[in-house]
Amino acid sequence: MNKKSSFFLLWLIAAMLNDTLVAQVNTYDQFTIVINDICMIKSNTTPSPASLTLSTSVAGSAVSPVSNSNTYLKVTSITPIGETRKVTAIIYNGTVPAGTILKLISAACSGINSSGDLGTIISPAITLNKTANQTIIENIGSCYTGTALTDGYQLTYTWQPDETNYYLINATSGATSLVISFTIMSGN
Amino acid sequence: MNTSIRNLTLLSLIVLTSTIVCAQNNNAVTMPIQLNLPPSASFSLAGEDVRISLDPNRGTEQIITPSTVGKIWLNYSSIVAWNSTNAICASLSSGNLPPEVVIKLLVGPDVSAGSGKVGKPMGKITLTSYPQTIISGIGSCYTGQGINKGHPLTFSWEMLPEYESDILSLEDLNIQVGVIYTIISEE
Repeated sequence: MNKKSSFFLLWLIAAMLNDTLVAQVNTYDQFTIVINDICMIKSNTTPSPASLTLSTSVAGSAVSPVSNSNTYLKVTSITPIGETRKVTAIIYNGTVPAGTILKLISAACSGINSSGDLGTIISPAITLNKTANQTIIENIGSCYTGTALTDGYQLTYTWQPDETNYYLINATSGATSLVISFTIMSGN
Repeated sequence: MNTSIRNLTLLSLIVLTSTIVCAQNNNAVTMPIQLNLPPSASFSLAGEDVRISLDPNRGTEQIITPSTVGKIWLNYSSIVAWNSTNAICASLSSGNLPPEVVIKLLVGPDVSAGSGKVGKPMGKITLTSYPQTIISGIGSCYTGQGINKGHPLTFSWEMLPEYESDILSLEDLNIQVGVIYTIISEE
């Protein structure tokens, strides 16, 4: 081969190699994500505040139990791995009138605006008292119930006479006001 | 961006997010509920109308009719305020009762088919057009509904000693009387 040909051949090889010898350059970004532990509860009544009235209706019969389902509990929860939460209820203020019993049960959370691990409902209804927090919903994980008026866990209060202590029932001229406290806490 | 600026940016991000990591403490809420218990009472009778028949063989003796036990029952429900009780009164209403004829009412004790503080009967009374207490001391209670619940009512009638058989012929009489019951508060 003469000089011109070998130079041309070298140039051709170099040109081909240039096409394939492209440097790869990568960049990295490193950042930290923090998910906060969240544990929030609130409530509302709709369409009106919770109010119950016991009265005789049928002669000879005990006063009939009455129910109110105007109260809703709303929850937002982010739980660490392995933890679940529960909602408990207790009478915070006031006394249930003598000779009567006040019961409470929750319904499963409405599905429209909620998502996540909304827990399981405790059944049957609990009898509210002033001495011990009682669980009404358990095994809540990471979830939210929604914030509209009818979102969340619908609570039903039932007020009924205590058959064995019926003679203790006393009529009152005014209403008896109770305050019920709901707490969301670790269920483990 | 050179390495030192990028590292500074990352460091400041980590520091800033650390200050936002705090525990949420809105984990309790309270809700009011109102319970209303007004005084109330209602009562009713259960059973059949009472028919009292004349025994023609008795003549001028005072006539005691067959017992009406088990025919009429008085049921009631009552919610009373503290230290208050109700009572039930009875009186004769309309009717064509001759003056020589007397109707008596005996209320038996409650048969314990219900619960609570039921009332006590007052003993046998002679019914007049003026209300008389037949059951007293009714607290918060209920007797149960229907026959064989509550208090049994026994009616009887008598002829007053002044009865003269040739003037008044009982066979011709077809006496119907009404009895009014009222429930009142015994405060």
